Amino acid sequence: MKASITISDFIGIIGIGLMVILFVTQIIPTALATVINKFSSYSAENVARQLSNLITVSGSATYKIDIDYAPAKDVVYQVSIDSRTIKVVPKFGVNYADKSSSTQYFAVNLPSGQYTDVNSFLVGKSIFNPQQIGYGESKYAFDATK
Amino acid sequence: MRLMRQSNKGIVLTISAVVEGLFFIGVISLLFWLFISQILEIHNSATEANTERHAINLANVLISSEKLAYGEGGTCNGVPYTCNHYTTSSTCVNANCGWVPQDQSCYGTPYDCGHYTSSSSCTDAGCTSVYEKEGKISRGILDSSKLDSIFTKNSVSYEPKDIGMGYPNSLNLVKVVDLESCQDTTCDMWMAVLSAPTTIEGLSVEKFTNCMSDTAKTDVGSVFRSIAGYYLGGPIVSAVASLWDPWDIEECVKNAVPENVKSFFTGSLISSEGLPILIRYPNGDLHVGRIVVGVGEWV
Repeated sequence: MKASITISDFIGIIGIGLMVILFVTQIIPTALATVINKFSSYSAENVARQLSNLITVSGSATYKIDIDYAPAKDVVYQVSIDSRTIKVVPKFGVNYADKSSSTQYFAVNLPSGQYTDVNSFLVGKSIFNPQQIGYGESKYAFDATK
Repeated sequence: MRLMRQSNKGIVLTISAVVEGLFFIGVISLLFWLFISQILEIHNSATEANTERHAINLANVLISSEKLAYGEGGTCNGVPYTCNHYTTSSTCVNANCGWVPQDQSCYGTPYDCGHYTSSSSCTDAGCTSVYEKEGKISRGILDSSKLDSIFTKNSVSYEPKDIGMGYPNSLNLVKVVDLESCQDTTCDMWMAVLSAPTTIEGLSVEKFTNCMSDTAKTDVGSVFRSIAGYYLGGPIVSAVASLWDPWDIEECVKNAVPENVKSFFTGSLISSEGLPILIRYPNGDLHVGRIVVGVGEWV
């Protein structure tokens, strides 16, 4: 028996090689990027970072402002706020992803609170007692619903 | 002959199996590398500008805060003063204005009611235009008198000030520079360290303490520094003076603090850093300035 490679075998090997190269260099990175982008936009780190920044920059408004933020429809989060720190824990379908919590800091005073199974957030700033002595005082509020 | 063919076939199969194995190892390695590189790219892009963004955010909050920004509200001999909420003179003449802004006009005619503090001199002036209404203040225009009351002017003080702003577990440094007051290499400058909550789990000054422990001195000179320090500042100063030279402490602070905070320790005059602001003095003068915020998280 003689071990030989025919032209059709050669073409087949080349074709498979090209398909593998195409798969590895084009299709997989695109699919991976899509999955990662989707996951990262829902991720605890992204949500916590966005919320902490929104809470802080609401202070840039000179009078009052309300900011709505709804990162995901299908994913809910557990959010706790204390000592200018916000902690976000997502609830995904898989157990290992639930453990990926994120803690971020913000720079203004916000009442402590805990919110469970929420995915829609409201950040607000207003002036408390604007008619009183001086200039009133900035008050910040946070609420979360599903 | 047959044996030799079988041997060759075995070698070919072995080589082919090895090549296939290497190929699959290569593919898996490539996939792993792609995955890791994507994750790293996202992670880096999310974290690398974190402290810088915190500094910018805090600066924006500060220039909008009623604690620092100029607003034309006030009190009238201790009584809440709401005259500035009205825009017609008729509603204002009876408001017993004790203090009104200087640069106002009464139906187009400038008046200087702001220079008076008694109600009698003010009731006829009327208030036409107002800037502050229902707590609105002038974003970006900092009140020098407020700066004087909260910040330390033209000197360095690291005593934390609580004005309800600042990142927790962080060093929040704020510097306001009046660029129009500069003469030679010195400018009028306000500086403050803003206090913020500190939690044990978020506090990590390991780098700083390691540096300080590495540079601690135990030579003979430390005894003399200790004695001098005790008489100058008490036991704590004595201990610090005996163990560390000032330049050691400065070095450790630099090492422990991120890049965006280091300019506070170099003493450099900044004209290109921070956010542009205006500083309003009691006589109504407006000076161009900058507010520079440095945030260094203890992580």
